[in-house]
Amino acid sequence: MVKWSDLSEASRASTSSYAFLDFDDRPWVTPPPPEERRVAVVSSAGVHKPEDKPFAWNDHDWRSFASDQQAFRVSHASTNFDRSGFMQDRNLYLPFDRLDELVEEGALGSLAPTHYSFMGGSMTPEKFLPHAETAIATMKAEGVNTVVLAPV
Amino acid sequence: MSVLAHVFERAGLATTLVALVYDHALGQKPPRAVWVPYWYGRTFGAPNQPDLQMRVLRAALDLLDRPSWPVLETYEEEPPPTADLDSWSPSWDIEPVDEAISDAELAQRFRHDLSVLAPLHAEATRAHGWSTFGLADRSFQELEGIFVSYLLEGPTDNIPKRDRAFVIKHGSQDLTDAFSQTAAHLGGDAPFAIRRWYWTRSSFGLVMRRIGEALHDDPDAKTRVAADGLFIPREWKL
Repeated sequence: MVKWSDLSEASRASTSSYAFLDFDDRPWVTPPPPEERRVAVVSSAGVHKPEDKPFAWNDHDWRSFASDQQAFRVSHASTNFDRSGFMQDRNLYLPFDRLDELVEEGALGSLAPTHYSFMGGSMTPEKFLPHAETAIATMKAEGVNTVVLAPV
Repeated sequence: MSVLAHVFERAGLATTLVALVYDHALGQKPPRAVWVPYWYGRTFGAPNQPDLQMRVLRAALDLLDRPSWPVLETYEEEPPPTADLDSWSPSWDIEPVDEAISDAELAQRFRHDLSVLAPLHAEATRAHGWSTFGLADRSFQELEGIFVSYLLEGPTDNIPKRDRAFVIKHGSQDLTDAFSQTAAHLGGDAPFAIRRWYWTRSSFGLVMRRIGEALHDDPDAKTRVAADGLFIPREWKL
């Protein structure tokens, strides 16, 4: 759906102003076998627990929640993505039920206790980097070796 | 998210990404990504479609077994059809508003429509178990007072400057979410139709679009920022 050619002129102008970061390395990790994979989900939807502080429009930090979290707020600043689907089924942003099913069938090892949301769409993505490091530290402490990233 | 994928991978975590914007993934080159043909906010296809969601998830997880960097694949399955944009309307008693309606009449319609929506939304929330409503930490009645006051009088002491940007931005999102959740609960999944009806035909959308214009002259700089791209979807700004 979202290729440049599918977008309106206004959307294309906004979306194409995204600043790419020029990395000089090409990291590549060979994951463990499926049954040993411990998975964390990272969303860009600006979702969080109702009691958490909402994202402000220049925030680059993250909020966390467990995979059995059932109630959310979505404080992403953008008005340009669909929230109605997520309000019907959290798996549209956070596929926890599907991941649980894969763990049950043995196609994955386990789900991490903690999962994350940033607020995506930043025009200054380098500001995510220090916050990514704190998420990495938590993931490693919880034995995560595999990350599913789910933008909105 | 492609930037995060790169940084996570550098830290020794294997990543896979479900990409919605093909050109972003192509430009930023995350280690592994599968591009899906779904609209913003519909990452795993559609709500309450577990088989489709699982196929998308498996497509992303399958990339973990590819041998080398970078991987950008395309997942071709189209989303299920949704409601017709032109014929859809809410399944409760709410009339569209005329764009030429006066501010005073619009305020009256807004109050009425909100008084109908609030109990329906409570019922939808009870049925589903949760709601995203509550970002502004204000009740429907409080939001009514805030938005009617801003529509008729502009920035006033009714909303202290300190809180104005936050309350207006999040209060508007709360009303959008309440309408959307109620409409989907009563009438089924209809993302594009619900969104268009809300912003172009409902009293809620018209109030927000008019306030969106007035916000550009708000004395508070943060509130002006909220008005500039964060308040009304870009295709429906006045």
